[in-house]
Amino acid sequence: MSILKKLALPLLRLWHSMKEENLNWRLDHHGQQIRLRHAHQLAEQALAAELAKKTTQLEHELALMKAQQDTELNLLKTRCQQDIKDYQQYLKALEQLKASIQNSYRQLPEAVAFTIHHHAKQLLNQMWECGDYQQKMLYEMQLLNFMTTLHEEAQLAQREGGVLPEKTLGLLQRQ
Amino acid sequence: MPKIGYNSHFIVDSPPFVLIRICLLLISCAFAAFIASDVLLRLGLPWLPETITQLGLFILLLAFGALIVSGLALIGRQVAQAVKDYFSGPQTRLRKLLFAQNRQLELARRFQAKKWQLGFVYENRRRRLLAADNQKSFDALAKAVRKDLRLLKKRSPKDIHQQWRRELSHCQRRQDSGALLNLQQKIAAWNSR
Repeated sequence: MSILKKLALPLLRLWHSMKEENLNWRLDHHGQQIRLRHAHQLAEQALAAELAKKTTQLEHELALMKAQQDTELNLLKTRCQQDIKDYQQYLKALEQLKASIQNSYRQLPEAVAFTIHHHAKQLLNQMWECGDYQQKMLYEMQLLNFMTTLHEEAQLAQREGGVLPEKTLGLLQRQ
Repeated sequence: MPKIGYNSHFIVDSPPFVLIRICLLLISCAFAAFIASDVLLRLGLPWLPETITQLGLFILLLAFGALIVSGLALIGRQVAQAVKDYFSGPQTRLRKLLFAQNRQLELARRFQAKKWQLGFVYENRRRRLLAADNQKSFDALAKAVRKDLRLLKKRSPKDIHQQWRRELSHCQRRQDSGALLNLQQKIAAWNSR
């Protein structure tokens, strides 16, 4: 028992001295610890505030972006619907042009009327499906030129009579 | 007693680290007990070596127990700290910011996808209109060719007439308007001779 006491007492004294030294150190550096804790809390608050500000800014940008995108999509939808209507009008116009050729040139073989109509539709589809803007404009000019020539010749044939729409056939061969 | 510095006080003086120091002390006591029992055994003493060996083993067991407890305490503290940090102000705000950034990327991707979808839908509609118009033109052309063939039935040689009829049904099966147009031009050319 006394041996155990002899072993335990120095150990206990060692333990108490360590604890006392720790307490003294803490008392000496109490102010610094408080300042450090305070600075840490301030830094955390500043970071939280900065992040909150960025989040608010980003959410505002998101709302603007969404509104802009919705507008753009609506415009695109309207443009696509208008394009479809325009395409339908073009097809109807080509049909009417074919009927006008057949009415104006009674002697004209049906094969020629169909060929002219077929060629006009090819020009229309070339223009519609072209990706390059400048090329698209070129095709559009070709189509308008073709339809204008045909229309003028049909009007002339109705007034003065005619056998063949020669200028139109010339354009057809060239194109 | 030597002065212990700032770092060891601030970090090393917490309960888990104190426990680690205690368990290292216990391990050294246990080794001291084993060495003492070995010396006493060589000296030939009767029951002391065995008792001291048992004591050493007990102290070693205590040391390992303390090590395990300090390990668990350290892990527990880390987990608690991690949970506290997760729910702290800056981390919560950071998660909100990252979530908003993610939404921004998703919005941009969705916009591109919707644009592509609109273009695809309307292009499909245009192609359906074109297909319907092509079918109408083809039917009108086929009707015209059939009418021409009917009119030329008596005037044209039988074999040529049959050849034309075969070509007409071939074009109708393949829906080839170009070939049908050529056939009509051939018939018109023969008719105008």
